[in-house]
Amino acid sequence: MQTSGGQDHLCINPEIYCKKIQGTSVRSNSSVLPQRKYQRHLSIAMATSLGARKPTSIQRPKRWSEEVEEAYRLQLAGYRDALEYHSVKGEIDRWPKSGYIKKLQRKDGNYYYYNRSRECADKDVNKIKLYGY
Amino acid sequence: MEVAKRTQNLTSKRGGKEIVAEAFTIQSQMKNVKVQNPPKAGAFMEQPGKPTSFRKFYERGDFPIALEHDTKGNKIAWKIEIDKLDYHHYLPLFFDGLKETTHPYEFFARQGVHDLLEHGGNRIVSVIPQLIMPIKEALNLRNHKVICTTLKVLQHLVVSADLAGEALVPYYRQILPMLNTFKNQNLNIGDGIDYGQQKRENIGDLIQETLEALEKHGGEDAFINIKYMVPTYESSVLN
Repeated sequence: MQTSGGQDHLCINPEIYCKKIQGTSVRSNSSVLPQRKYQRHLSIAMATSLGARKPTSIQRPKRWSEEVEEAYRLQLAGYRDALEYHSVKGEIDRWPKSGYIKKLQRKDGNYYYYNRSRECADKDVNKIKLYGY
Repeated sequence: MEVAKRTQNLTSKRGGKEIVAEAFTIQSQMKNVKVQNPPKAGAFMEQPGKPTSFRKFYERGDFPIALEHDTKGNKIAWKIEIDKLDYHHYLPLFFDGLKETTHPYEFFARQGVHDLLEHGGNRIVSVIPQLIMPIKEALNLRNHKVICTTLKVLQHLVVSADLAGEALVPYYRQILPMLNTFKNQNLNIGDGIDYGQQKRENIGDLIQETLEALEKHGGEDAFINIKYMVPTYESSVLN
C-alpha cells in the first residue's frame, strides 16, 4: 500500500494505525511523533485503508448538491471518490472560499483544473455515482 | 485607363435609352442617366481570417496540453501545472487563438484562456499589454462567433485579478471601436423568442454586459473613457 504524502508515510501500516486509535497505545506513540504530524499520518493512513476497500453500495443522485459536485469533479478525472484520490495521489487542492476542488492530477499524470463556481450541470447530475462504504 | 473604366461602368438599358452611371461622374449629369447607389462600406462585413500563430504552435505540439479527444466534457488536460507556466509566453498565444473558428483550435484556445485566467491571479496584470493586439484583431474579424467569445473573455479578464480592470483602461481606444460598431446589433422580432439570449449569443446584449463590467472594475476613469469611445453608452454605476 503506497501513499504519496512523502517518504515517511511509506513506513506506516494503516491497519495498525486504525487499531491504535481505538486502543490505548496511541498515547505511548504520540510521545514519539508530534501530535499534528501524527494526526496527518493517521488521516492519510485511514484514507489509504478505506481507499483500498471496495464500496458496498452505490447511488445515483436526483438533485445537485455539494457532495454531487465533489463526486462529479473526481469522476471527471477518473477517480471513484476522494478516498481513492487520497490513496493514489494524496491531498486535494481546493478553492479557498467555496471549498470546491480546484485541481486534480489524473492517473496518467496530467492535470485537470476546475472553476471556482459550480460545474456540474443539471443534465449531468444523474451520471454521477455516489459510493457508500 | 480612367476613361476606359468609366465607360465600362456605363451600361445601357431598354435598347440604349437609359444609362446607368456612377455618382459624381460626368456621365451622371447626362440626360436619361440613372445614377447608381453608392457601394457598401462593409462596416459589418466579415473579414477573412489568416492562419494564427496559435495554430502553428498547436500543430507543432508546443503547448503543454494533452491533445486528446475523448468524451470527458469540455476540459483540457494540462501536462504541467498552470502555476509553473510562463504567462508572458503562453497567455498571448492562447489569446491569439481566439481568432480561430474551426475545431479543435477554437476549443483549445477558448478553454486554455479560460483556465489560465481562472488560475492566474495577479500574474495576469503584467501580461495585459501583450493581450491587446490579439483582442483587437479578434474583434476586427467581425465574425459573430469570434466576437461573442472575445466579449466573454473580456468579461472574465476584468474579474480575473484585482487590478486587471484598471490596467485595461489605457487600451480602450484599441478595443472599444468595434464594440461601438456592433452595440446596436440586436434582433427585433416582436414577441418571438430569441434563443440567442438564452445561449448568450446576442451581440448587442453581450456588448452592454461587457461595457458594464469594464466600467464596474475599471476604476474612476473608466466611465469617461468608455463614453469617449462609445458615445451612446450610459453609466450603470453613476446613475
